[in-house]
Amino acid sequence: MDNIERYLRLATWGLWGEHKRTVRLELASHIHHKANQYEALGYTPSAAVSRALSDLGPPHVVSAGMNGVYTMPNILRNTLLCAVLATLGVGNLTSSVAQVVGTTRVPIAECANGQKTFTSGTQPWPCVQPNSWISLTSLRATLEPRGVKFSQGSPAAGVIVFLRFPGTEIDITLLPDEKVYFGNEQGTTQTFSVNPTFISVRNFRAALANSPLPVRINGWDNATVSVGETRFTLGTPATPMLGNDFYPQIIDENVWGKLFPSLIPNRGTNELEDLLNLTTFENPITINSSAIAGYAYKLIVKNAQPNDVYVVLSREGPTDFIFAGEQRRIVQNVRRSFISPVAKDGLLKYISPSKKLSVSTSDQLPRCVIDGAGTISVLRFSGRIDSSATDTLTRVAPEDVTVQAVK
Amino acid sequence: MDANLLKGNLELILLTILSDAEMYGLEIIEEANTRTDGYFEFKEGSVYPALHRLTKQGFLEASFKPSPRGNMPSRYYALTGKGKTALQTKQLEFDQFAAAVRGLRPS
Repeated sequence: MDNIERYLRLATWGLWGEHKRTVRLELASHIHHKANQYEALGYTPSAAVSRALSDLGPPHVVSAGMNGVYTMPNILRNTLLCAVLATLGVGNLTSSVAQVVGTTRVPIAECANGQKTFTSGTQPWPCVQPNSWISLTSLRATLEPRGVKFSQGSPAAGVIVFLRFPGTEIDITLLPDEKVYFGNEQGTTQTFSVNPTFISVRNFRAALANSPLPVRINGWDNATVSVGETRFTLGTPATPMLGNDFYPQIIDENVWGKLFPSLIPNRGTNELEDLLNLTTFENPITINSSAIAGYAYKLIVKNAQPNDVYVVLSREGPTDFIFAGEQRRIVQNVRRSFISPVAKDGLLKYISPSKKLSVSTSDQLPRCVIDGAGTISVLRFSGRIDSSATDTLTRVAPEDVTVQAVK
Repeated sequence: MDANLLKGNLELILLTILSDAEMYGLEIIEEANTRTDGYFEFKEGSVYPALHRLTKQGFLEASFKPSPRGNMPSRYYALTGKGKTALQTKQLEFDQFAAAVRGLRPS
């Protein structure tokens, strides 16, 4: 696979069907024309392509932006993601800010043709997927008193809502999940209708990423969101917003950006180091787990802080990483990130019931499996997740991590 | 220039450039550089999501056409009637904002 193909795949990651094809062709045309310009200036063909790709910037920025525009719910993607829930002690965070009512399981969904499942590859997937949803009525009632202006898009464009937060004259666009599109690997699109008075929390997050104001998100379940000076909490104790439905996409976008340079060795490292804080990623802490069949293991990070989010991954060779927790889908030799917040006791725990190291924060939660027990690395993703994608990914010190057998 | 300033005004910049003629992405970027002597330090990849967003909002219409630069077609963007109205509004808002900021300067 050449560098252009690799870039296009990453830049269109998360897009499906016609959108994916359009973006791909447009970017390919851009790269082609720009590389021709560099060749005319005397660059070799490969150097010309490298310069053209460098000018375009990191592909994850493109894919994040495009996903923000098309705001697909990415239900399939997040189902594949084997993330672990743990509840942070964020109740004190939410008491002083307005709370938006939501629900975790809006009863939407049958596929348009009445199917209960659809097929992607050889795998059947249910048309109804877990997700957290925000009530638009509650969102409006919460934010309008705080100076946020709501306006409605034209009916022809669907149920589109524009939000303008205090401190900016630029709207962000909410696309409520009036229709949810599934795309499969063949590009076939299936559609079904959902309740237009709700928006998925993932779509909401994607819209926030387009805000010109700084956006900060704190907490796992019932996260507190700050857009400029406006603060509010997504979810209430009675109608929670689950971090498991909210964070994987953010982590994916940011971690992918930091991981990508390792996959593109021809890229200039100085620029990327500066851009992506690569230095922390080049030397991840490695822990030899030596997991033994039949035993369970806890991976404990001693200095874990509430609200921190951790990425656990294993490394194979100089350029290939496998993120712990996703064994089904390999993209560019990189498997999806396994993420976990810190538990109430301040520890990050993973339990391995077999030599295939599986990780979980409790027996009730989904289990994830790493291929082989080998080495694992633990990186701390910043405690405050910022949509600007400039957060740091820091190593966890070796002395702060232990792997303990559990009887 | 301040990246946030550029990000906050990217839509206005794109609509302004496209008010003269339809263009494709690379052409828009080059036009912005030419007209401003390279003042806008675009990360080229960030322009495309903005163009798609404006298209989705109905401010631009887009279609693939043969490019004069090569065999691959380019996606040309053109301002719609709604886009022209939005441009006027955004320009007015920006002018008012800039005037207000200037008014804050000590005399």
